[in-house]
Amino acid sequence: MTRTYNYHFNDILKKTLFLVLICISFGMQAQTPTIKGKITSVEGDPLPGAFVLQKGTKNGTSTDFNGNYKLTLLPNQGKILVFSYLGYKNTEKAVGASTTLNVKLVEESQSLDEIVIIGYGQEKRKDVTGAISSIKAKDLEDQFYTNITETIQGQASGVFVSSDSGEPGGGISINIRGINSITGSTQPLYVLNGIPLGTDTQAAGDLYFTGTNPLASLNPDDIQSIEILKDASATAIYGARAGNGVVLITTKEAKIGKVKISTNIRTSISSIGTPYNLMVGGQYAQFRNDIVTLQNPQTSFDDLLADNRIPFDGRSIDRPLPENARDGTRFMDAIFRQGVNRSANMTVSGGNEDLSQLLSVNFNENEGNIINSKFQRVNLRYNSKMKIGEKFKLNSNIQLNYARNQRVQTSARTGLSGVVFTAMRISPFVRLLDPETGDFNQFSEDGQMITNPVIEATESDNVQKDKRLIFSTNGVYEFTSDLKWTNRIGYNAGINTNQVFNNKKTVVGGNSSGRLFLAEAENNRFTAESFLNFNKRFDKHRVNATAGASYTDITAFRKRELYTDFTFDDLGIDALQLASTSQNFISIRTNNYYKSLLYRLNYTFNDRYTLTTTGRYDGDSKFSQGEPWGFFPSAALSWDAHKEKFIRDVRAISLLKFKVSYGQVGSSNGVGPYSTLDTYNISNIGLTDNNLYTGTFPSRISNRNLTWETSTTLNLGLNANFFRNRLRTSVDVYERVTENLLNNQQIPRQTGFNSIPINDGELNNRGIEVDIAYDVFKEENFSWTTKLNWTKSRTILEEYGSNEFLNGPNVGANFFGIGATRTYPGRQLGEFYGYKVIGLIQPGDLVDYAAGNFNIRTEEVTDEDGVVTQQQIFATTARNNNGNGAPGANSPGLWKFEDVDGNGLINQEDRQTIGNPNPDFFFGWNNQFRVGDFNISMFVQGSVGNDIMNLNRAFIGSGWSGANGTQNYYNNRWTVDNQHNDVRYPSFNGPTGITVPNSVFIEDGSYVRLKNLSVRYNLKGIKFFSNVGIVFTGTNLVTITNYTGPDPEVSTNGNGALNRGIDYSAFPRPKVYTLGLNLTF
Amino acid sequence: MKLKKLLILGIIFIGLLSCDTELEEEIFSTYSAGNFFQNEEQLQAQNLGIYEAFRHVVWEQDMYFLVSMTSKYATSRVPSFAWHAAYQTPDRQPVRYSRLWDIGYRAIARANTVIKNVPLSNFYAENTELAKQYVAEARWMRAYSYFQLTQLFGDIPLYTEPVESADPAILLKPRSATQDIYNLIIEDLEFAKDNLPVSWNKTGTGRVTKAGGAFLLGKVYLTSAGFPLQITANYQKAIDALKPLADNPTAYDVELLSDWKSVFSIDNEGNKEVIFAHGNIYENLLGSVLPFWTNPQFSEFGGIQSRNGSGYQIAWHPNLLDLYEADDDRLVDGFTYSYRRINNNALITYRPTPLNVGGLTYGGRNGISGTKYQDGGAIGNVIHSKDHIVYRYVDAFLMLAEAYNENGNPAAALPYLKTARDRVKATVINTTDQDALRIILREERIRELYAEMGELFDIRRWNIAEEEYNNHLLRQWRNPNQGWDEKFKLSPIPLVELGKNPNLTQNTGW
Repeated sequence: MTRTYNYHFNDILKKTLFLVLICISFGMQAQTPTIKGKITSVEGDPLPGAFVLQKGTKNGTSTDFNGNYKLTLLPNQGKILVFSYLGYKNTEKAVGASTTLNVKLVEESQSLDEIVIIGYGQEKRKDVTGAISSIKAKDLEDQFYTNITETIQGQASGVFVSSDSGEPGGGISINIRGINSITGSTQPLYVLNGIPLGTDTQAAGDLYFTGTNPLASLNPDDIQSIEILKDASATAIYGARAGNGVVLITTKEAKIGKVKISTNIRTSISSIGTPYNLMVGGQYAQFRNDIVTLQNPQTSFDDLLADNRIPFDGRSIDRPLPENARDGTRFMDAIFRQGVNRSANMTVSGGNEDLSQLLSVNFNENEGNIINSKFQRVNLRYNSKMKIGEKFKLNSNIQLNYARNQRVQTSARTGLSGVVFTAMRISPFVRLLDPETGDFNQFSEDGQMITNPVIEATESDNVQKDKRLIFSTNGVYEFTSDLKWTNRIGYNAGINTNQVFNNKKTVVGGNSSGRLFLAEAENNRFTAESFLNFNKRFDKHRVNATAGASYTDITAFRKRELYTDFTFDDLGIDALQLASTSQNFISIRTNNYYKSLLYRLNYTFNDRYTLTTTGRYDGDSKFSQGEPWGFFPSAALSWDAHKEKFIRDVRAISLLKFKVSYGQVGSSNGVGPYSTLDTYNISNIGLTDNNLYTGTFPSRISNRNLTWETSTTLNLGLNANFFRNRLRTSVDVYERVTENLLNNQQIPRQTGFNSIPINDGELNNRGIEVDIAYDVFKEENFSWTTKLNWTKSRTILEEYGSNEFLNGPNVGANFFGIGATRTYPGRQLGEFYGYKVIGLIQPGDLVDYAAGNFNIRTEEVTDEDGVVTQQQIFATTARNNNGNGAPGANSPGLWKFEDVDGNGLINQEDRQTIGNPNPDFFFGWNNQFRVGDFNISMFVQGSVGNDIMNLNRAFIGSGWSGANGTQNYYNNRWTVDNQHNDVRYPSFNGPTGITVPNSVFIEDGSYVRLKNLSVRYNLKGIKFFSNVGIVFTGTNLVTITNYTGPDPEVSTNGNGALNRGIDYSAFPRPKVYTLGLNLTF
Repeated sequence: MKLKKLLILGIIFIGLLSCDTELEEEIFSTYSAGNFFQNEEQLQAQNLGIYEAFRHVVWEQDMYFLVSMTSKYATSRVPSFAWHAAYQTPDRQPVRYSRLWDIGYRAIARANTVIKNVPLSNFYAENTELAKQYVAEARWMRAYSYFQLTQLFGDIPLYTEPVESADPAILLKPRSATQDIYNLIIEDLEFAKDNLPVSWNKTGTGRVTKAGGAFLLGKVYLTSAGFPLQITANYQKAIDALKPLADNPTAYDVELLSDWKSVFSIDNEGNKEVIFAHGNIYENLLGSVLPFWTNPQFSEFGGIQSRNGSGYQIAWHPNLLDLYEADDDRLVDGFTYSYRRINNNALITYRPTPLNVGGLTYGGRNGISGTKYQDGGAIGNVIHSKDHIVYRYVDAFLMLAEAYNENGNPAAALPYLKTARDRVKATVINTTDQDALRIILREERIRELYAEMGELFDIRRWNIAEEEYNNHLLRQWRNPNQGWDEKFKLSPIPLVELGKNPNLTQNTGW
């Protein structure tokens, strides 16, 4: 069969399908002989509208909604029937004796007629000139997802999804083609059914809360397709908001036909094992005592004991001598549990050409692996497609989303009461339960109040709720078949609330006699768009043009307040009147709007050469006093080389397409509204007359010259398919330069301000993306498709104005209080910055350790002028003094750091680059097998070459006196009896352990993870059901990594350009086992 | 018909988008700076905005830890608080330095905004005298902030104008010499002294007045006469500034209260002995934490958390008691010798045992609680309403006495010392030996002003930091193997700031 035939056939097919859809009741006159049967997919789904043709004739028919056909054969013609269906491989069958001929069609490898959603329109895959990755519902089925953002992970090249932690509903972000902005948000623009979504919708968190996913309330089961627009040709039509790439999400639409109900029900259990294995009582006591004895070598243990200097001296029940100590409580076991995730989804769809409707209902409840954490989501979505008159079509979507996330604060990013962090810190001698009352213990044996992680987890009621209405309607008026006018309105209104009630048993609540934090964020986004699409072919010329205008208005209202002093603390938020004070109330309303004009012109000559140009003229009110208007153009060329004669004859090549694109997009994410205005904030202050007064003060240093940051991208692409599209490859190479970086630049506090919005600096981002898919087998009873995507991307800070470097945000206010990353021009973004550890101090390094002299030994050094001085043999944080040195800084077994500036003193000037959180490359490998009625899919995902700053090492892995430590640390740590020079195991962590990050915390975070393994069995012939499938899915089953923390997919400080890859007592990611049932009837 | 409606809709959209180049922003929740400073209410709000920079509990606790706890008598039973007394704050909690730095400079920036803009306003032109009072208040607040910062950090960056652009030459200023900082402080205070009102009409107590102008000017002169500047001519200037204040309490609307303890009473806040205080109140989390930290657990004067069995984390070594005469009111009223536990009504009595006695109950190495921060009514540990008293009128007498003595006129010092001591029933000092009187005056400052966050500044201007370090009782016990280091003569410039500003240098040794 030649290609020409295929094309000819497809043409007929399309026309026929069109006819069939319009005149469905079209009947055939019966002639002999008549063949009938049913056409289904190999999975058994009926294929309505499939075409049956008597070979060599024009005699054919289509299947009805149940996939049934009836065809009267022309006499004296061939008795072979050709079955075809869009997106499926043609199949020929000879007519035998039977008059019934059922056929299963095998899906086509990749249809070039596949529709790809692009901005303000859609195109066939073969006409696309930009770099666009598509994810279809089919790619996602049988996998386990808790949110819409996760579905993208590993599915498309160039797209890196990183989550903050394994917390249900926790923060997660997508980077498309690396990092293109140094601002806090590197999130792409999400567009749902044509209407941009906001991601700044979250209410303020209580102190120390980690971020949550703004898209957590969307239902991942609603996805029909996700298109990821990567190069400027694809994104420039979104102009000033496209700087971080664009993700177009299309939800499932109503289908014409008789009512079809499909449901799926899933139940998962999840477990995380013991992520942090801590010291037991005796070890804990020994470790604490060793810190004291090590610093007082000249005094015997008995003397220290007599002098009351030994912390675990046996004088009270929770301060036993190590040898008498009980193992104590394992608090980690008390806070982790097996999680359960249940979800149920039902979709009802049907209708006729004038009105078709879809209703989808989803319920999800995810009990997390830390006690008391629970995420719930309910979604209701209604889609209707109406045809009004002959020329007007209306497609409307309404969704009501509700998510309730009962959170447990785990990682004390800056605070002290995070549950995992508290479980790391607490003494194992604290009993879990009060022996008298049986309640969870609030006091230590000597009456001190303690922070019990179980109480913190269970007696705090931390709930984030998201209620969101998303409405959009698309009215399309067809002037002619060539010219369509679309008007679109989108409205997205939501309230996100955070409530944190700490009752009097918790530490924070006890300190305030009950404490309730309330925060609310109300967001109203209104979008109106109007555009014309013109699509016409003149001989060898085809023109596809779009032009229109868009207006978006975003009003946000945020407030927060704090109530304390509750008479009774059992009713919490439900009885505010029990609180006697309300404090810290703040409300802020902001408005931001965009006005835009846009166009796209797509011209194809001879079906081979395509030119696309787009442009968008955008105005953003944020820059009202600066330069609010910007124009963002792009151009792209593609050449379908396989249609040229000299290649057409090479049978192995089924597609060969070259693409080049160039264009500009912008971003204004880096700053908020009013950044160019001088304003005064309002606050209040008490005076000694005990009254409260209003105080006002400058809110910022305004920068009147602010404008967009702009990215210019050059993209070269090659698509090559071989062996009748059985092997599909695509390679994209790009370079992107982002200038005028918009950033709230951290400035010295001596100015009275923390930051100033600026445009400065330049990023260079280069990458290569490879997608390979191969249908290893494609038979009726057995198929195997394997798809690999591989991405390498590197972002370099080319320059940063007059600044020598760019500091990352501080790691944690109560501890490090210093940035963990620093980015230099010419280097990658967000590289870890800190001390380099070069060894451990040994007793022989000290002047006279045995006598308690902790000065570092010195040696004679002769300088250039011949002057001889005594200098320390290595630098320390506490320079030698006239006395005995500083035991806290110079004890044996403490870290030695590299003295970068050579001044003999270790201070922050001696920090250097110690690691790189950016991966060398990452990949996703997806395999789908079908064996008879079984479908098996296996998805492997990995990242190679990225470092993680494992701050857990600072707290529990290197001898911090403020916490318990790991067994591994205890067993290997430096002691007088176990002297060594292994920097991972110091005697204790010294003065810089939790103040300045160092190279010991840096670990290789590379991993390969079996993200998903699922088996589905399709039951056939069940009464009442057209399809029944049973799915078993395992998620995160196997992880290969050298990372010593619980989970290499971690970034507890969020996913901005300058703070990624930091692990700070995270909520680990569990292994999940899911059983699902799909029913269609 | 339908088509017509659609067309109308479409025209409306396109009308919306007619691209005028003006994109005006509507402001809802802040005030536009362009038209501020138009009336006294706005001036007052801007000036109180400077006070607001010190809001909440951070400034107060950090000053306590970094200043009061360097006194050799300061102690704590809690290791994480003992760090400060053991000179380990830079290692353990460097953030405390950066927080003070942040707050001080935030206040300076707000003051600069007022000082620049008020004279430009119409209000100033029409009500010059009144407007000058507001400028004087802002200049006093700027001087106070610079003074506290330079006493901690030495040379620091000097800003006299608000920062209004991203010019690196302005953003990244290097440090100015301590002398230049004092020059600005003195210039500001001379203006403040002449222009501040005796009291404010529109608010109650708590804003700086004419008394504050004279008091701080005297203190700055006295400090600059000591280390590191050693401008001994300033002893006379200190006398000139303080003498009118000490001699004419009525003219300045100040008073030395006869009942010493009532100066600190929660029921007597904003009394006439208070020259300047940060006004803590229950409302809106603008309270204090010190009542909880400085009082014994289960006591009725430590607020809610001490009721839960915690508290009593910072205290005073019993050796401090030996400095007082037996009848001194301050010995009797200044410390908590016994109290009833509110959970079981047991009477807990203080036992003057040495540092190294075991156990965690009241007594032992805990030291003894002072009474300057008692406030039992608070319903949260950081929302005590007890004010943070920064300057008291009695210090004008002590400073004046010291200035006379150092200026070679010990006899002139005695009457002022007598005034300060008489009201607490301390005996009369008669010596006119300069050295002997110096010792007495220095001890008198400790007796009178312990826990009032001036200790480190006195230690530094007297240049006795090494001696104090070596004699620090808790340091000796906790950290016996650590010797004195010259670097302790100044506090470390915050690391975070050094990282952001390449022109900023660290103090020697840090």
